[in-house]
Amino acid sequence: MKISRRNRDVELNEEFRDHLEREIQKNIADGMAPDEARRRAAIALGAIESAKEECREQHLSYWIETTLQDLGYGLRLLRKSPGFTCIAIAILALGIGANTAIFSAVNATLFARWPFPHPEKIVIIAEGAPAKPGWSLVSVPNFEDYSREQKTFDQLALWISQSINLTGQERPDRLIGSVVSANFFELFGTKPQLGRLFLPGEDQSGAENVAVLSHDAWQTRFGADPNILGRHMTLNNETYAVVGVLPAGYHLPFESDVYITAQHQTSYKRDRATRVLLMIGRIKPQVSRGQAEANLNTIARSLAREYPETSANINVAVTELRDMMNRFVRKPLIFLLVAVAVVLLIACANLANLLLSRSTQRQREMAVRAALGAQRSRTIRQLFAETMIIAVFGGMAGVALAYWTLPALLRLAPSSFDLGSVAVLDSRVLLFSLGLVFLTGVLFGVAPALHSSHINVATALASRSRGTAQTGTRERVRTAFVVFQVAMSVVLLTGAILLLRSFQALLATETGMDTRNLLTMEYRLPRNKYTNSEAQAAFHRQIVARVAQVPGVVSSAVVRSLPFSGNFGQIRFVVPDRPAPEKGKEPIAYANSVTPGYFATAGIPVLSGRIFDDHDSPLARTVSVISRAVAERYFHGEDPVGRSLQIVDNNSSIDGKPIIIVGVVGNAKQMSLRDNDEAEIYTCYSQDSGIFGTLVVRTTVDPMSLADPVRQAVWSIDNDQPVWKVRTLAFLVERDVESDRFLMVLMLAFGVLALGLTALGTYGVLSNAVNQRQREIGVRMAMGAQPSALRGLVLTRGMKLALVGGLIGVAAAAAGTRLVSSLLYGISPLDPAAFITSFATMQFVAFLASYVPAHRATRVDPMRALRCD
Amino acid sequence: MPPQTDLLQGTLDLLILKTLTLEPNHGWGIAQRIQQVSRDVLQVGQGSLYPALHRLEGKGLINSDWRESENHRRAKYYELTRAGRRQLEREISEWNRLVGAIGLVIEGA
Repeated sequence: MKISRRNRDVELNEEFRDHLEREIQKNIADGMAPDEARRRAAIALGAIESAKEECREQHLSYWIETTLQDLGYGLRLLRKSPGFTCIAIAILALGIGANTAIFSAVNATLFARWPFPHPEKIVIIAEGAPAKPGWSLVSVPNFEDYSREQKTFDQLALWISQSINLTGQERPDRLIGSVVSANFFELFGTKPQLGRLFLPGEDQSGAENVAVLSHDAWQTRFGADPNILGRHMTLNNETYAVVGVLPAGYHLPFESDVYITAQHQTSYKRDRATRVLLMIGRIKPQVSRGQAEANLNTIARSLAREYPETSANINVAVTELRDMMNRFVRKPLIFLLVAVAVVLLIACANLANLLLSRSTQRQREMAVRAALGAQRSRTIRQLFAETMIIAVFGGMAGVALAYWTLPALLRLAPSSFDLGSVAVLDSRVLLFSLGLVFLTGVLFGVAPALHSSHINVATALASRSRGTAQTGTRERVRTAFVVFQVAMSVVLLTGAILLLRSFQALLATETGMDTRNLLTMEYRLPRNKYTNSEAQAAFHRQIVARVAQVPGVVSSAVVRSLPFSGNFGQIRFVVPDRPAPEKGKEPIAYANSVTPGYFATAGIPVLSGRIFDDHDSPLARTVSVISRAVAERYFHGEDPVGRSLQIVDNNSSIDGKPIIIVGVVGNAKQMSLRDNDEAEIYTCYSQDSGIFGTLVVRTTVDPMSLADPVRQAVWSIDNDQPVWKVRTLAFLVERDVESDRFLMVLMLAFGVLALGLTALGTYGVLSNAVNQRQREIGVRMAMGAQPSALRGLVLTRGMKLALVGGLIGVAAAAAGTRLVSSLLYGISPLDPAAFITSFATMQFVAFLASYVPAHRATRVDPMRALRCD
Repeated sequence: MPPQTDLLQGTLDLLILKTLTLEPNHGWGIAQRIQQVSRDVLQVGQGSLYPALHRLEGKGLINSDWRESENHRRAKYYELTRAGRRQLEREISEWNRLVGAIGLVIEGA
């Protein structure tokens, strides 16, 4: 039964009064005079109010009531000063909103939920001499040995991605395919929605051709055909039967439209020198990654002993698959998370300062409370409730802000971040926001609460108390907050400017080509239709010729690995006249095969000798063109034209043959603008052909406008040949820098936000100081101080704060930027221009922020200031 | 004034419960009784007494009731509940155990 508070209080008063009466009676009975009895009794009773308060505290309903009381009071107070409330909530909303948005992105990538249990146990195994963690291919016999001998994995499986031609529909199409070992799905614990998955043995040569479709592919390419099982389709010009369909929305780490078995990999061979597949594994539950790696290394060592020609010196490196896929994204995202947290700290400093300045106005209120017997803890609780209200409203506004801006953020984000559909209402993100709300409430509430509750009642209640010790401490605390803000802003700004300069350096990097007006598209010929290199070379030649006739086309060519596409070939080579390097340690260069018109089409200059022409047929000597980097590094100033080199690459048709260098061309970036290696060896398609090719077309008009005519030209040669990845080279180069741009834009935004908040903070503190010191200013003016001197007083104060904070910030930034040097390109993490610019900008902004209060100081009316008391 | 001895919170609870075994009493009466029985050694101030009474009531060990007192005024009387009686027994045996142990240490060691 709940007794209402009023009743309880009445009862409590009754009880205490009764006690007092009895004590008085006892004293009288002991012989004291009534007045004396009363006095003695009162003394014996002591502090009634605090005793009563303690009694009240024993009941839970008390706590609930007082908390509600605090909240109600806090809400009323905030409503009475809407300006303050709005600013406070707005500042906090910005801070929490930005943090929530960035954390959403981090959550989506780093904690990506994959649809199978224990994703941390899935690893990728690289084999090499020595092994480098990452995507590195393994041979089929080696894989089988590993599988048989290992003791630490549930499963080892093979996977590689492959473009697959789908023909027999209205238009030839390309599917993203995964070529996998038969136990691939078992490793992930996948269950099919329709039909079945692969059976053991279906990945051996001679087994029937079977395929598994993804749910999306079944819906979009095959119209959700209910009789899909057993239906035949033509992939890479061979017939496959569909045996299963994966569940809807099921996303494996490797997105694919169709899955086929390992023996269908283009260059599949069961010998230890052919490496065309990646090895992945699921580690047993109790086993650690280190143990699994050690186990495989034992097997690797015995393989190295038994098969020295192919597997000398090999070992393995085991990496978590998730880490591999996040590799490029993790550092930038964490960097952004830290930066945005700093912005929140600056915002909290602002809020703390705001609250402190409000506490000046509430001094009397606090003093009265204390005089009435309010315990300090109670006052702190009440102030805390006020700050928590601001924090909660700020948090809600922040989450709403994040929800509203997240789609825009996702659109701007580079595709490489693979943010997909980020659910803001994800429970982890909301929990994070809740934690932030609580943390910020504590951060910006603690200092003012502790401070306000510590009142010297006498001095505070004295009218117009000036310059109490408390005011002095408050000033110092506020100054410290501003210095902190300045320092943090300088750190953020420095980071932002470093990224800006890095981005500029990237953009200024030469690609080595003329990237304007170049249309590109990829294709891959089915091996059983173009069975030998002559047929393949003929196709490439024919489409070059046909495409060149399309109106608007200046020139066309085919290249095997288009720069900036992510495709590349690498080989080892030897220069015959030089001392032979150790086997396995020969120099490496990018390898590419091109049609004769490639260099002109791409705009790569010819530096000496000639480029390929019709004389370079399969019957003539094998020729190559090298890039300037190869000439300089391996021929040291001598003219390499006429010299020869030898390629060391088991998978190549020209392995071991001496190749004559006929020309030298300019360097061109192969992988990205950041790539420093520009050693490239070109061969020509007529001598070194293949099924892969990328068409490169220089146009007079907008390249994409010619996409269809060029496609038709290709289909006029072979109307079953799909082409894909139709885009311009300019687009690819753009894509290369999009994550750098994204990072830079966000950091600049954070830097500007930080500057703004700090300016507000500086203005606030100086403004407050001017208000407090009105009397002093009045005196100065009456004594003849010039306005400029007064202005100077305030400005100096502000600039001193900015100077100290700025220097601290520079030192902190200098210490910290080394951590992010991997994000930078072309400039040092201690680039002086960046530091100077951010420091100077901060000083300038601080000057502006100080100017208004400084000006206001000169407008003080000395008569009013001196008189008002 | 006789010296005041600081009583630990738990010990105060024990004394209150014991005092109420005889008959229900009001706060002042409980304090007086404790003082008398302990021959003025233990003096409980109202600052500790009433919070303790409210706490015990919150735990359900005592009940309170407003009655007319001997001087014809309303006073709040507290009485022991069954749970309170059980708790008292437990506390007394615990107290005896404690005292015995301390005694052993002082004598022996």
